[in-house]
Amino acid sequence: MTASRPLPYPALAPQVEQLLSEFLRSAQSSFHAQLKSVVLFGSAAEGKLRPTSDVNLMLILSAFEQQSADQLREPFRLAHAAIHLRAMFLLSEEIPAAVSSFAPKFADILRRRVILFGEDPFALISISREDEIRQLKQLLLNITLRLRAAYVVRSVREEQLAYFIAASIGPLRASASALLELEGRPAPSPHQAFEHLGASLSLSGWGDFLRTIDSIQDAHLAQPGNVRRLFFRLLEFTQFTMARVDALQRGAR
Amino acid sequence: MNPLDLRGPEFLLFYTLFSAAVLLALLLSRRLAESREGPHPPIEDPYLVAFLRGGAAEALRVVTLSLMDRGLLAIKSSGLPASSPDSENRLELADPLAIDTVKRPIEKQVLAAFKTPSPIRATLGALESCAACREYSSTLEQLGLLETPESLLAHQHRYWIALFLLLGVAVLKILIALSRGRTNVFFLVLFSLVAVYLAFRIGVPFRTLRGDKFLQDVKSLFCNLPLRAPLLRPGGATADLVWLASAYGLSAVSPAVFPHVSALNPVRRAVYGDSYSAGTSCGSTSSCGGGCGGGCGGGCGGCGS
Repeated sequence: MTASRPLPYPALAPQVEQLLSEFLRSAQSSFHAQLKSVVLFGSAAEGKLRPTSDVNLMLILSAFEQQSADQLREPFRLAHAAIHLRAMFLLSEEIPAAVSSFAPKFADILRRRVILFGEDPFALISISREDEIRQLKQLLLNITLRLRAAYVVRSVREEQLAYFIAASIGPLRASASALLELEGRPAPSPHQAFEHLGASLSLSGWGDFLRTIDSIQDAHLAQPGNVRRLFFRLLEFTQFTMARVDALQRGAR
Repeated sequence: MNPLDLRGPEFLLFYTLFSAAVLLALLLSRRLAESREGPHPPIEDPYLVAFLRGGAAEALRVVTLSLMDRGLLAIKSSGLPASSPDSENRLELADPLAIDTVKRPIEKQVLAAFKTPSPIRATLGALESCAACREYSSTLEQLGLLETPESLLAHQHRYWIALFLLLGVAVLKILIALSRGRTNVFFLVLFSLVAVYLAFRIGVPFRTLRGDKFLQDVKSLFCNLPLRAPLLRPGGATADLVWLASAYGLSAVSPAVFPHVSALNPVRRAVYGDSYSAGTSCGSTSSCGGGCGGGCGGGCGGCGS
């Protein structure tokens, strides 16, 4: 895929906006000319943050030096505590290798990104379809394995399982979005891609499933027993999605 | 008409209005006395926030929690049954090098106090007047967030005047009632006690109004943190735990995730008004969810797969 245009600056909660602009100022004064671009991506770029969501930033640098990094430590720790800021520090020359090595991740970034500072580092970047399909399959397999392990370890305490689902749902939505795009039927957002894909797979009780996921993401506890059922729906969804990716891979050969 | 001649219910109504007027005057006089403006203090030291919220004792508890979470202080069981007066657990410095490793003076002082295994509450109690705590107190006073001894004295003068008025009227009425053979003064005693309590809360503050506002701002900034409390991970890699405890108190920390928080159970001091409630001042950030998106961990960690 080729990069789409960056999104406009989203509507964010006041404290997120305040912390983001303070962090941006700190990054500029820490890295000076070494800071080339700052990219906001993921749900924050769409203005769809939830209380438990991460705020994802990518800092594109010409060099990563100790003195500069040291200056950014405290502002970063503060922003991490306040808005769950996560930052990726990438050198300009590492972009092609990173895009190729983590194709599904960067496909999502190319779809949902806001340039907060500097030029768009992905304006001329494209992702190989073959790479994206292969890595999407790896990603889904990785999620499947982790879901199974998490179930055995955590499901005795349902709330722990719910926290794991809340953290896993983002990558699954991004995977659904990537799959639909690779199939030539892009959805407007990962959230909608997840809904459409689940509906097209004819999974029973999909509506209830989505409502429970929304509730968990808003940090509410679900009815006892619901989370375990939800978990196996999610596992089923992951396996169906992986089968669709397999079909794409076979078609590409 | 003499209000002291009013009958029971009418006098209670009069006393309620009178108390409200006295309390309002007390609040307004406090606002006038604290009208000093100043620069917005930076939000960078969580222990300063903990001190502002609950004084030296609270700051020391948060420091200790953080050091335990980082593995620099280790808990040692007394080995005695809980019914024994000496059953309190002890803390011990995990590694003598830790004192040089930590950066903030208050952390160094807490670590130094636990060089040998020591009971938690007594040791922290003895540290309340340590140099680092005095430094925090002085900084907060200079920033206009805590009352200085002088301003506190002025507040106390106003509080005594309010107390004299509130109790004076109540006592006079009770004496008059008793002299007329009426003994049903229970509600008046109750009303006057409530008024005195409110006057104390308004008139003898720990923080300035500016301090209250600053604390509110800090809580607004970290308003999502209590919702993420059960998701925090022990080990001290991030500052999340220390900001949660500083802004919202130890009661906001999940004992399931950080069991050692139970060993630091604070003695509640209602006068500081620092109680934690599950509600936060965060507005709703959005009505629909894109979830964590591609940037979320979810077991895929950063770019890794």
